[in-house]
Amino acid sequence: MNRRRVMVATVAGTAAVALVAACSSSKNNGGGATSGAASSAPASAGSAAGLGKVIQPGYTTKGGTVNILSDANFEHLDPVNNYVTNSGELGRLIYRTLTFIEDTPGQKPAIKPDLAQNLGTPSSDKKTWTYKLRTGLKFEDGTPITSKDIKYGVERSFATDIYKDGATYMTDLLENPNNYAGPYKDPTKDLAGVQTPDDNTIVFKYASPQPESDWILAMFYTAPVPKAKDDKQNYDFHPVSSGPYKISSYTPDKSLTLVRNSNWDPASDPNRPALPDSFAQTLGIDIPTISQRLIADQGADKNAVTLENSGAIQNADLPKIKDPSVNARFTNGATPCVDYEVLNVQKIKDVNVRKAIAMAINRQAIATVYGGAIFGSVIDTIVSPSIQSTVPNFAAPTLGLKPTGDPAAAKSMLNGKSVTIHYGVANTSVKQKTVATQIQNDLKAAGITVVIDQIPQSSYYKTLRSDSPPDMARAGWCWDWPTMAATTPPVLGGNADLTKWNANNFSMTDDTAVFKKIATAVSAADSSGLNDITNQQLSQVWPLISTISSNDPNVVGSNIRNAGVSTIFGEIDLNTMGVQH
Amino acid sequence: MLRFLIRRFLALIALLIATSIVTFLLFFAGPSDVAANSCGKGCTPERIQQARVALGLDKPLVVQYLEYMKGLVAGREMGPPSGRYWCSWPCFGTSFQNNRPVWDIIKTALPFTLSIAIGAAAIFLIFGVGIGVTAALHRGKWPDKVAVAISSLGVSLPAPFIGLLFLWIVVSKWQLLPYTSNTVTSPWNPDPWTWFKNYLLAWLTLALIFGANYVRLTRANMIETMGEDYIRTARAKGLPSRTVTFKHGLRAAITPVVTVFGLDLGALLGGAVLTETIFSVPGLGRTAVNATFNQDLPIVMAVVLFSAFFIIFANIIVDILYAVIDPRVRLN
Repeated sequence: MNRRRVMVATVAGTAAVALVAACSSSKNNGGGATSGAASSAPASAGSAAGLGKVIQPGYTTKGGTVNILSDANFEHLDPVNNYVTNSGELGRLIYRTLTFIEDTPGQKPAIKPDLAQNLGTPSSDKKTWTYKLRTGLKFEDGTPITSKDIKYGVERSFATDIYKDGATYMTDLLENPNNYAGPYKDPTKDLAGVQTPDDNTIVFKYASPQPESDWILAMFYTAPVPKAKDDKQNYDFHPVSSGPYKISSYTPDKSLTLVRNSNWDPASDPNRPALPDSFAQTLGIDIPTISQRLIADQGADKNAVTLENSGAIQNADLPKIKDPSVNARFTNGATPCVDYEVLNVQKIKDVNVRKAIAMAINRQAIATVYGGAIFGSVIDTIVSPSIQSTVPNFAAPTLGLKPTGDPAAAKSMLNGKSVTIHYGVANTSVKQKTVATQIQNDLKAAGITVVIDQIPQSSYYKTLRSDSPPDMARAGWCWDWPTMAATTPPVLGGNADLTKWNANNFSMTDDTAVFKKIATAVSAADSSGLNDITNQQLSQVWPLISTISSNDPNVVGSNIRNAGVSTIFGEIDLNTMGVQH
Repeated sequence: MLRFLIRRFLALIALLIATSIVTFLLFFAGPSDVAANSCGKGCTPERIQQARVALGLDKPLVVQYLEYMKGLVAGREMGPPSGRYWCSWPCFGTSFQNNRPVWDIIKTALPFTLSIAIGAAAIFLIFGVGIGVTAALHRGKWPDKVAVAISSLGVSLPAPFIGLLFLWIVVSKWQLLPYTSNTVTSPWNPDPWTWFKNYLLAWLTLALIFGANYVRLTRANMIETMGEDYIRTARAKGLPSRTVTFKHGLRAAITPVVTVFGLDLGALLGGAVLTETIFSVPGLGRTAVNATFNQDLPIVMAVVLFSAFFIIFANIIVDILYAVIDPRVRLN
């Protein structure tokens, strides 16, 4: 799930927001590093950073309005295009999906049926999955929800010429023998990969075994869409509700109000407590102002939260969080994202050089650039802490690296070898540039010369994927569902036919035997196996060096109850929230 | 006068076309690859190409520009092959981000910008000129010294500093005024007092910065004008001091101020970027900033065109006012 617009750039955005000073309104571009951040942030990442804390838990009273303070408009509310975390939080209040990722703050994520009665029944080869729908499901206008409405939602995700921002798993994974391209181009064609034998049954046919079908179908493309109400791009502004809340009013860039959907039956939905009567979102508030208002906790802001990355918290606000009255309203949680430094194996061919680079980098200093322990902590693996508990006997790779780096050991390992590498940095990201300079200094001490190449922000990832990528660059990954199969394959795996690296494998590892191993482990739902492959790759091939696992700190209004950070979206969780009124 | 107006109107059109060409080339022919950047996790070359077609970026630049201009005056059809739709005139395109018509976005943002610009301009013009005249008439005395000191301070302080200071002290600490609300769009919505309270700090921030220039400019011009022979003659004729100062002195001294005011007001109507950002006012400036960071080129282009229009239009008004204020200036 994207934490903002730039898919794998999300971690940059997360911490950047916290660092951006009042002179910048960028969400995705870097802010300046301040040395004060580390000293003002708690020393250790764990409890001092408030990870996993739920503010005033156990609240069950319905009623009241939650005010959401936001900066820019969200991109999409149409489920087919809703693939960004802040609109995701709103999305699951408005529409239901076939399955549901239960990610109660502070608890291990789990997959639950949502519109479906139960989790799917697979065929023996796990290519075909059958789901039975609950009874009594209705859209906001009282029309019954059938399997055909869910299929139509999936069909829309194939119209990739219109809907370009959503998740692509349906087009990537489903059987599609007749090159189905959405419901508009050729309405006579049928999507063979989804069958609806009756109004209460839906069958998904994948091109390859998909043991994690239940997780895959929790994404918004399985939200039902009534065909009669589909007005293509304009559906973005008035998606029809199948969940506990419907849109009462929406003025893009100004405000969004959600009120109860009277045709939602709580008995049919065990996943959504739906405590508040309404959510009132105000858009267009400057990020530092949001932080200031949440901390000040005045008037209607006592009912307020934000969906901005890093809770809109600014570096200058960190000391205020230590104030007991504010700290009682402070929570934090790991996001699905891990940041790493790509070491392109096609460019830096000597594994010892890659290892030496990893040894020399001071990742603790990078954490400081990111804003300190509250905003993230040093990590050795690409497996986010938010899902480590889902991997049996999880272990991070044994890299033998010091968080503060060891340039002397790296230098000794290079044994006098002269090395020059080109480090790519997005030209508009102050934070990335600061990290690049930090790495340049670290590697200089190890005898490695770093040339910093500026890449236009808009073509940053295109350059990393190109035939002439930089030797080294920052990237990151945010899983779409909390399993290893949504983590290892994109970062270290191959393309569809396993002949080459995939588009998100920026390290460009080309060991097809490893690609096959990863694919086999995915087919077998072997998360431990995937973690072993990950560890083997990270500790022996050194295709990347993980740096920071990012957090989403938040201060909420004093009337907000059950407030915690959701695992899947890495934002303050609206689904479980209540408000004292 | 009519010939003048026609001539200037035609010049306005020509300038706007020139601005549109430069802006279009700057944004659409630049190195930015919007289609590639909008491609999500499942990015493939085919998807990038689809995005390029959907955004209309696959056509030659000249065709893109001509279609854009056609849309402005007559509307045009837009969108990907299976999702074509009609964009009515004035069609500035649709947002790359959420497909919302840019004209709707501009219409939403404009009332906020008007509220800020008009209120701030009234304050900095009235107080700037008033303090400047007072300083000039009391040259070397304490009112002059205070005015010069305040204007120096206003010129020196950046908008973010003043704005954030106001927010912190007046709103957050003393709670004398509310945080700016984006539901207050005009003196009629919801009422003049709420409107006044909502924008007062933004006005004062801009007034401090802009007003300082008016104090200095008015003061300097007044001092110069009041030393002219015709002022001495007027005094010698026995005209009252007020008539000499305001009818003969200020009227001559204020023409350069009017020029600057025209430019300032035009620029403000194009969006007070920093002030709108600090005070969370979703006007044209803040819209442009957000659009720039999101590479939402149609919005950026539209805001630039609007800004250019306001500045050029303000200049025409200034030229007309010149003739009214100073009889020595004739429009022909």
